[in-house]
Amino acid sequence: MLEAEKQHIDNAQGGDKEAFSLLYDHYLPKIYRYILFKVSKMEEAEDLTHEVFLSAWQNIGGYKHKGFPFSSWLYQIARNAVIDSYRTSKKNVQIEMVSENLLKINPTESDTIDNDMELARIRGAIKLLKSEYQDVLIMRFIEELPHEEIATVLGKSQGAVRIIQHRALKELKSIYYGQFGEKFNEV
Amino acid sequence: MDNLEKNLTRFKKIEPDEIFKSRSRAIILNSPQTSYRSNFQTFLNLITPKVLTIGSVTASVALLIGALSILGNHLLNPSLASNFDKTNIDKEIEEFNFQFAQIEYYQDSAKKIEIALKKTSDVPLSEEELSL
Repeated sequence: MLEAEKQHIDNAQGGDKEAFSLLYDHYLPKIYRYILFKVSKMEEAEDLTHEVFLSAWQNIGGYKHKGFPFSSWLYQIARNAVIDSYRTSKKNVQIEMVSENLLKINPTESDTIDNDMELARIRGAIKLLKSEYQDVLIMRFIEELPHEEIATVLGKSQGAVRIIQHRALKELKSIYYGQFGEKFNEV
Repeated sequence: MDNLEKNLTRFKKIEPDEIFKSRSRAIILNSPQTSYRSNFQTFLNLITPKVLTIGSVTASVALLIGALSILGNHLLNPSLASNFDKTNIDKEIEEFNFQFAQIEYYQDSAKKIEIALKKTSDVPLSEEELSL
């Protein structure tokens, strides 16, 4: 943890809104992306992200630095929020239901409509994976978190996270190439 | 890393909507924080100012009473205060000496009267009485 971030956390624990605002700006995109991949609608992702940061603000007084990054605490809150959301509204999302509009990627990053479609299908394939596999793939390949931090968030050993990552990637490829056939084998 | 893995990293470009971001931040920062003090700490915080006030008032009153009693003994009570006056002490010693002299005088005169009475009544006198 950076010294500056630790200072922001200490200040936020003392009720400093500006300090929490800095943490919010830094971690919001990461948490939002994580949740967006776990739920089916953008509005739902926004609502859950809001809940996560509201909970973080209200409970930051109870946060104790134990050598893990602050983000792992936020991911844990986000993970629990998503699990609670699953419990209250069981939703089975099919690949066909996944809209490209959900992605909202900067147009300059998406060279063609085909690329948008491709990303939408990858996202759809990820959603067919079991929750634990999704967590590891999102944190490892999208957020590029180290295995150690993923292990902290999931409450597993680093070795177990590596095994889950391997299996998740294998299954993602199987779903993705299996669903879209030879056309997408070139991806 | 194959193309699928590379494509996964492209999702990092997804950003939350700016309007959502600012609205959510404003709502969150206007919400109260949960207090994480323990019940004992809360209890201490509640009673400490009262205990300190009561304690300091009691100590002040005790000090005041003590100071007044000492001052009263020395300054307000004239008889006790006079004990420490040298002139008065000398006067008292003089009075004592005078009283001792009187006692001696009365003892001597009583003895002499007794001897005189014995002589008149022909009672034999002791050697000690003869010497007087």
